[in-house]
Amino acid sequence: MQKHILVVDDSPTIRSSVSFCLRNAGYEVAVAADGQDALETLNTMRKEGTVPSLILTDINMPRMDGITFISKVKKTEFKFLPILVLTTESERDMIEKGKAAGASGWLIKPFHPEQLLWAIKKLMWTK
Amino acid sequence: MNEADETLQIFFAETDDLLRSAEESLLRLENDPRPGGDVQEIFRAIHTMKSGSAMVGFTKVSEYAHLLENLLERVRGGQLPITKPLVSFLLEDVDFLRKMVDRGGRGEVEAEPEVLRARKSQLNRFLGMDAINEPEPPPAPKSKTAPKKESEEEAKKHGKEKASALPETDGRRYYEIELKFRKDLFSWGQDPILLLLGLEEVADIVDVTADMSRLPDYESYDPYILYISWRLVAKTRATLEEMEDIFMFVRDDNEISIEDITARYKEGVDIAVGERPLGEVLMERGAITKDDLDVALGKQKRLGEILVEEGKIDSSMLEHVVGQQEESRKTYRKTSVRVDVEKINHLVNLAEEIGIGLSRLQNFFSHMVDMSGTETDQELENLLKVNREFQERVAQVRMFPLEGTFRRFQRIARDTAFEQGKKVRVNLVGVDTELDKEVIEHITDPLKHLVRNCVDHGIETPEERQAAGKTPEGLIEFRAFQKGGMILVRISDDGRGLDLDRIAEKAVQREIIQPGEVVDNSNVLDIICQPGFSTVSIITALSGRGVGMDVVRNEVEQLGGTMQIETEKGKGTTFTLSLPLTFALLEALHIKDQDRSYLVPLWGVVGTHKYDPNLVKFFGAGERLYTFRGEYVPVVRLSKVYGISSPTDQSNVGSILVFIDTSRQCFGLLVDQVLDPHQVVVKSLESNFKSVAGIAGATIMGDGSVALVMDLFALEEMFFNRSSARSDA
Repeated sequence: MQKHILVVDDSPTIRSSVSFCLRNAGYEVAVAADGQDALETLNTMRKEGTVPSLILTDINMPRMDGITFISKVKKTEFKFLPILVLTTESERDMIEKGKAAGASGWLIKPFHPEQLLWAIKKLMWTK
Repeated sequence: MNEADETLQIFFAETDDLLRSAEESLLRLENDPRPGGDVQEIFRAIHTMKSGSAMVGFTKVSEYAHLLENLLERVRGGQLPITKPLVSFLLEDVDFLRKMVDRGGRGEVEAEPEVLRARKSQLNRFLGMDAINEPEPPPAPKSKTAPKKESEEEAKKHGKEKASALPETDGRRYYEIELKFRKDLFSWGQDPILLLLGLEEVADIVDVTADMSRLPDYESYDPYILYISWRLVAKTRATLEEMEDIFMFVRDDNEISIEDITARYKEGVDIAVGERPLGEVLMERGAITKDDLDVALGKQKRLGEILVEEGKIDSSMLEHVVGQQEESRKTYRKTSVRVDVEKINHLVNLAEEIGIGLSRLQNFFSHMVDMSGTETDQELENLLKVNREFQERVAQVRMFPLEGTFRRFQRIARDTAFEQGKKVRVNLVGVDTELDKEVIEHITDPLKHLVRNCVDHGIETPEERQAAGKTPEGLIEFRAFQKGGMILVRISDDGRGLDLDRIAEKAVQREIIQPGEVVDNSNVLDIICQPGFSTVSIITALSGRGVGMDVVRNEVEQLGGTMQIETEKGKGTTFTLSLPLTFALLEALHIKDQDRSYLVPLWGVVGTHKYDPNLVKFFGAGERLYTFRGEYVPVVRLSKVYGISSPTDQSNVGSILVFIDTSRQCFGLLVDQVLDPHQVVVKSLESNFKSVAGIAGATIMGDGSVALVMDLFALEEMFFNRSSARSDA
């Protein structure tokens, strides 16, 4: 069965390029534009029976930021899902904040598709 | 439109939106210069653009956006006042970025270098910096390795320093990894098994100890809590940095330590463990506590005490023997020392260097007529003799008795037999026979294999044996003895012997032999050593252990040894391995071809012959067969095999044939000159040079020239595989 990954980022470019890379690697991808949207998407996915195996989320987003989103996920049945934080060099402190909220790992934008898959492999059964 | 193009289109659309919203905010700011929502909006737009442009490969856009982000950061923080010139500069920037994206979209350079430079220096002026001190651009995406930049570099530095201080072991290093995870690791979405699998991808895990002492009773067990910690030893070519990367996401919040322990790890064994008491090792690995140890030690009785208590010995006997032991240990300490084998190898090398120096001196003196036969000449001769003995003595230090190895085989034979409900008695003969440590290491695995083979397929079940009129207990004998310059190791059993008929059948099927050809002791080894043959389910199959007889024989031959087999139906099988005494010294024949010196390992040379054109038969595409001892043997010029082009002067080339027999194939090499046999220390070329096919190493000759030591098996391959080498010899 194909694994689903949820990608949360307010930038359409990032959503598109990350999805492209993940679909190429054989994953099903769902996208959300911010934390609020992501929580709703998670809910829909649960109803559809396409629960994601991993979440990729940006930090700096309108409506609901990534840190709040992670904290909320951690209060749900999805608390054991690995969460990868997507951040930038200038927001290194977000790694710590993300980890404190319960993130499993992080990636610094821009990243190479290989780096993305490498990080996913650390957090999710890929076979 | 494919998905990559689509991503690009999305990027253009997003850029458009972002820049428009930044523009609007800037215009509002011009009228109302207060830090707040508008500055934040501009910041976010530029920040988002920075990541996006880098992801789609617009590096210059990303680079400039990064600088702009720094500037806006200061505006946002209030360190930089919002002035009219600043706002109009930022408005220009929006246009500049838009232009760069447009140009990039048309496939042009995003910005001419000088334009970009001018723009940057203007920006830096706002930041109060001069153009030279511009901040670093964002890091370009690196492949594979972790994105954590500073710590990565630190780790690299760290790893390199560490690595250079320690000895190398075939480029692989040993790491001790301790993994003590926080109990709630799972709720961080992390799974230790993925880390272990990741580790396995880059390293061989040599040893694993799981500490389960924190596991609670079944009733209080919580599946969402991690109770286990691990200690592993991994062998790998990966650097410390690469190893640390595996644990990148868990390193900071868990107790993870990775230590390079190559220095105390030899041959896959932690040598430090052997020298420390068991209790201490168990404690260190968290298996027991100090209290556990003390309690257990308190309970422990000495062997002597137990025996005295049980009335097996009396106390005077105990005292006597203990006294003797102490005396013996004292003497042992006085008379023997443990030495690292590396140090001995060093000595062997030095002895060789001295030998080379002396030979060169002798060579030098021999050219001075009035010096020959003088006292100096005799002294030199004497020194050479002493040095030769010195070399041999040093090489002897590397020699170890086979006893330890044999005892292990005894154990393997017993265990294997037990598993299969068989009975064996193992006889060891000649356990004092000494072999070079390195040779022992190399033959241990092949021998282990033969031992298992003996028990698996040679020895019958007790019932079968009795039915055949044999004792129910099978007999396996390990025997080692010296014969000439070789050590013979023999493994024999009194089992059922090889089923030659079935082997013949299979060999015909696999087209190794012709139908009707007889399989007997003279050719059975060649047949069962065909790659893959032994995996066929016949009596020589090696119990699915993944090693075939071909591997066994190759290993032996790599050492310059040979292997023989004798088998008789119903009586048993004997494998005999002939092995060189030592690796360090090689007996070799010095030959010259086209002014190059070569050394041919003497064990492979079966004869030399002055080239006689009458004995040559041409065959096929210019191949030459030479009549040697009544047989046709293919011959070729040595330079041809090594692919060295011929000199223009052909007057005195290729006058002598050296015949090589690798026990698989016989072939002749045409060379210019055959000189004396030599005893040489072989130095591998590979630490300084690329591995060269057909060359095992090099040594320096008395006249200062470098001689290449031939690798006969590789040479054989080159000879028989490259038929073009043989034609037109």
